[in-house]
Amino acid sequence: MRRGGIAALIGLFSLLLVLSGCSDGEEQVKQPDILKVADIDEMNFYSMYGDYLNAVYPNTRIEFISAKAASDWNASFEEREKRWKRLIESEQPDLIVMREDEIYQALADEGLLTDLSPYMQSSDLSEQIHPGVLELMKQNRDSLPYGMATLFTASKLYYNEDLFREYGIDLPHDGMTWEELLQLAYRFTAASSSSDAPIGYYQSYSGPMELASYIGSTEGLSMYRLNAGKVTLDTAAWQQVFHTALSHYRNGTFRTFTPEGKISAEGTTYYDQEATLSADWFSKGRAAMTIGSYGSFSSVKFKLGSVNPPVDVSTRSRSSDFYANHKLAIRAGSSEAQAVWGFIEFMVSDYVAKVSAQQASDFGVPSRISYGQHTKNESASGLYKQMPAITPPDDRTGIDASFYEGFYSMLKQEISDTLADKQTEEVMLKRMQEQGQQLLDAAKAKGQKE
Amino acid sequence: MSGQYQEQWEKQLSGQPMRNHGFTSDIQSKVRERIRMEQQNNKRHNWFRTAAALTSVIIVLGGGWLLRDDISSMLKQKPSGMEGVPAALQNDVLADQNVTLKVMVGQYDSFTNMQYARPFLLHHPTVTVETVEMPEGKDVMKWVDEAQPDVLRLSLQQYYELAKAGKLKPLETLIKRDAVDVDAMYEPVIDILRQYGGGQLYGLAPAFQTDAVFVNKGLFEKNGIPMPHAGMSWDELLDTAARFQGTGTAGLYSGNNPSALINEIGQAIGLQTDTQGGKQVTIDSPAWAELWTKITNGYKEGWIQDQDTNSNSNKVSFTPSDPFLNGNAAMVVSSGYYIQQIQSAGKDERKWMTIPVPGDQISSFHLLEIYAVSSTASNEKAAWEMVKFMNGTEFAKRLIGTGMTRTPIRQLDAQQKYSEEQIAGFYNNKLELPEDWQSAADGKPNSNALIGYAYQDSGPLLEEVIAGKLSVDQALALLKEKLEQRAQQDALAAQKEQS
Repeated sequence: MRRGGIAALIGLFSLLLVLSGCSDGEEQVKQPDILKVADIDEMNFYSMYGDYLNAVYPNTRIEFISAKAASDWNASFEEREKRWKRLIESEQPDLIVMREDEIYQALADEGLLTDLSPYMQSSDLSEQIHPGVLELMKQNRDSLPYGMATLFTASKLYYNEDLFREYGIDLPHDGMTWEELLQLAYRFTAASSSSDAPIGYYQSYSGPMELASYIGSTEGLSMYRLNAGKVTLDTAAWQQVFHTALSHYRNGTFRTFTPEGKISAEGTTYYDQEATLSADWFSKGRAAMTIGSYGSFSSVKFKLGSVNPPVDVSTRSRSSDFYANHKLAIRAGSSEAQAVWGFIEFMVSDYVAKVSAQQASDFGVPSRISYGQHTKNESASGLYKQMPAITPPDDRTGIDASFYEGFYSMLKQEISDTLADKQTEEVMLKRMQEQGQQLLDAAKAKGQKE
Repeated sequence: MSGQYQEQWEKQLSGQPMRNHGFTSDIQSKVRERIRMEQQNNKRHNWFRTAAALTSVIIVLGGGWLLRDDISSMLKQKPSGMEGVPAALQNDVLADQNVTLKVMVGQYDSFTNMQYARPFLLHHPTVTVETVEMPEGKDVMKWVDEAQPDVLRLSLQQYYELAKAGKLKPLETLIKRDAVDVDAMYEPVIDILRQYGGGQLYGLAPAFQTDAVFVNKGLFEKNGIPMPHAGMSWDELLDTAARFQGTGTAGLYSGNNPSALINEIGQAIGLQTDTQGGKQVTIDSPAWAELWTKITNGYKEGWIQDQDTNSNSNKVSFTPSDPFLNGNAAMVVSSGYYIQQIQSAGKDERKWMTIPVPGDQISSFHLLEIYAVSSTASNEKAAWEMVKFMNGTEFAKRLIGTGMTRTPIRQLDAQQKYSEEQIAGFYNNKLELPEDWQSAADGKPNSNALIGYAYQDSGPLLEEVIAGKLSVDQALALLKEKLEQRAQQDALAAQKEQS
């Protein structure tokens, strides 16, 4: 009787549970038996995504499709694009990992990837993802998110707070333009004429040409438009950029230092640890500011501060070095689309953002905005206020690869002639434009012949 | 409804004394806690009567109505912050524990560098993992007392010392309770862990290290030489390698240098450099001389080879100089990390296999990451969960996927990615502890006390033999002298330290 009573009780209780709960069918995605994944490198895929995939689908067998050959840098862009297309069509991966923006655009424009916006809408994700990341995802013909970068990388302007205090100079702040940053840096140059006094701004392996191109990328400028076959250096905007870089080089605001490289048995130049350390003036306390990727300089011996890197003049909101390269996408037509989305959704969930905050990250920070609140690193929240400086997508098809090297060494030569007062900045820009155009025309002719 | 389920509920309900309005705060909180059905230990059945049961029915019904939102939300929604969280992660047994686990790491440890804690944290997000670094060369017993880690990651030697001193929690009961499938783990490793634990298991290892013979099948086929196989003696294996003489391909890549090869084979076939704790040097025995002769002949005749030499030898090179990877040697003896090397070299991926190393492999056997729970762990439950997880199949997938540097404890896990032929060699070695293993673990080996010196001092002598400047007998006589000197110096140093 007693047993019966209890059994009845249990029965009733469970009925109650059934009635109260189970009407709402829990929509958990069924674990797929096999998930086909295409990425460049298997080990790298597993170290970046494997833990999450195993956690979500513990019983799923991952079939890895290597896109190594399709991503071979020795092949032309055109050839890589062709190989990717062939790979996707023949191997039919469910999840595609792309690490190159142009390839992503090309595959999206070819209709090989699934538009994620309906999925994102149904899980109300758009508001939770870094708007800059979303913007980069929409860099394609249809302006639709055909992929999702679950992580992004961005830079910070790092400063040596001890040096700023010592010299009584105002600390840098978020939202400075390049001109403002370099003027702040100049105050260190002005404060002391001694050659071993600290300089205000320094960038390892960077000279006036690199600085100009850095500033240009913040402003969203391109030196050339390959698809139009035009070099675009003879503009007022570029003139301003080069003037900023060269005048601050002339007045000693920033200096350049190239350590001695070593030559390997194969004949390539490389910089060993010693050389890299010797070039790192910021860590050594010889420079007050530098730009580095988020998470750098964790072990310097001075009080380290950081703010967001310089912004563009026109909107005062966009910075360069903001990347969301590693994009996850669902192949258009994949029968496991829902399962792949389940994985992507998990990758950008608050749950993962929270767990990520506990761990040092070897690549990027979560695109999920809430990471900024979970992490103990205070400078992380600033990353979610940065917006990427975007140069419109270009098409490298049919350009001989030797163009780039020739172009940049030409720029260097012209800059050094200008710094040696052999020509004015105006003449320099004119010559750059003319020679650059010749180089581009030649590369195009050569590329088309092949 | 299963019988076990009923029983648990019975215990839960029978344990509730009734309070105001027949509604116990206990029940309420239990329901609010999303009804964790954990067993209670206090069994008090007898006071419970039918009347009480009937009252409870009303309570439960009433309670169910009162808490209908909680009950239904518990079933359809996950706790806050759990949106988009997959089913596989929703039964976190540590969800109610806000615990910090202190995990032992060494310098440059994969645990930190490779984010070993990440998958565990994905399953147990309320846990915080803090690493505590044991300085190189520090006495492990002292360090454990000072640093008070919860989860230990030990070498076999450290495991031996700590288990002996009662610093580790015995795991047999927990293993049985949670049905951890120890039988699926490579048996010799479990046996050794038990022996080093004095008959008890105090730790588990996700991977182990031994050598295997890697075989380039293509080169054997091309030259029409019969494939080597498990069960061969070292003599037979070397004879097989010697058949490559004159083919332009080496039969065996030494893996390093002649001294390393001789050391490997000598230990595998049970040769002793010395006995009586180093008092008697036996390096000039006929068996050693025979081995030296065979190996040095192999070098002279070209069927054994060291690294491919680069023309610019004093410059850093980014091309591999390993003749096996370059397809210039048919066999090499190496440990589990080498599989990754072959994969990265990317040549003939399917054309290689492994066979066990002839003789005994206990000398190449290492356990570098035995997970154990400290007997003073602040949260034993969480610590054990971590030990269990790190030895489970999910973590094995990550070890294999991210580049296997050691051999996974379960052959079946490894076979998810590699064929049986490719990894079988690692699971078929003879691994027998020597008779004096315990005295060796206590720091007083009976034999091979001078083996490190022998390895070191053999190098230059072997080179002279290969160059034809010394005979094997002359070289071994010189080596014997040298080792005797070393033993005397050590004895003197030990005496000084004592006085």
